[in-house]
Amino acid sequence: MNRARVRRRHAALLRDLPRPVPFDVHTLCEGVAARRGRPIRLIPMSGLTGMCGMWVATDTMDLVFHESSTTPPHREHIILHELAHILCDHYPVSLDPAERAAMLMPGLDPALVRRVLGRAGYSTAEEREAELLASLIRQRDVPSRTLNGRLRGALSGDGDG
Amino acid sequence: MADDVASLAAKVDHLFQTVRPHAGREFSFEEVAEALRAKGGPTISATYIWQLRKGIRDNPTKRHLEALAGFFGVPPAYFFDDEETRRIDAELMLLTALRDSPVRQIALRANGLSPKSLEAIADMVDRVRELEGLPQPPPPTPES
Repeated sequence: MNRARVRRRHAALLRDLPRPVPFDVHTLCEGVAARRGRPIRLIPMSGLTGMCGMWVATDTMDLVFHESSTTPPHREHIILHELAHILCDHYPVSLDPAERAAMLMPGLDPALVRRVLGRAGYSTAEEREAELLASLIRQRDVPSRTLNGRLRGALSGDGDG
Repeated sequence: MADDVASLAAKVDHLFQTVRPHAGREFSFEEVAEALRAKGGPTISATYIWQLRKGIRDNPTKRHLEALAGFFGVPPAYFFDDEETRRIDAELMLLTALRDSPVRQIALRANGLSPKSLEAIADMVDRVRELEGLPQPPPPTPES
């Protein structure tokens, strides 16, 4: 997907996203879940090395496991990253079992993983997109270059010009 | 040396138990021997594979080990490198957890997963079924 298309897609996603005031990631997830008609469960966990968050989808719900022993802003960003994957609908559309196997279980023969699971994987391009959208969601309220954005920024008193 | 014998048998046993053709049953010794023969690998009889698993024989050649490893989809180092064994076991644990779980998709932020992380993921995957059956807990109330 080229950059302009990603930008357009993100703009559309951000426009339709609930906008809790004050910003609260749990409320945001609830709003998204209500619109999708699928529950999103946020599950804190602690003590994971080299891993911050994990999105797991079942037939009926989405579960976001996230590292709890970190700073609140980091925790929030982790959840937003996983939420961004959900919003971008990354996993149902990109099917590359070999790539997922290589990432999660690099020691095993991809053919074995495929045989046992026979399911989909994801790509590093999607990791980058989720990371980008996670940041955009959080930065939405930062004054933009539009007139409305500048006005909103001026009124909320945190404009950066 | 006795330990080495035990651990080779234990590893072969572990592969049979975790890497299955279907969720329900293990590969038979005949199936393994036949698959290796079909692939043109070294000749290993079903009986010999059974003996390796039981620890009755402990003298496989390098080619035997490579062929067995190849059949089960693990690197040959699984049989003689402790660190590799631990890592592959963690990966197999995750694979098994995923096979038996209602999880359809899995995605995570990760950089270089350790065996410990892989085990943690497997634990989370194991929890999913239980979590699916529970009511949604109330979210932490933001200061209002």
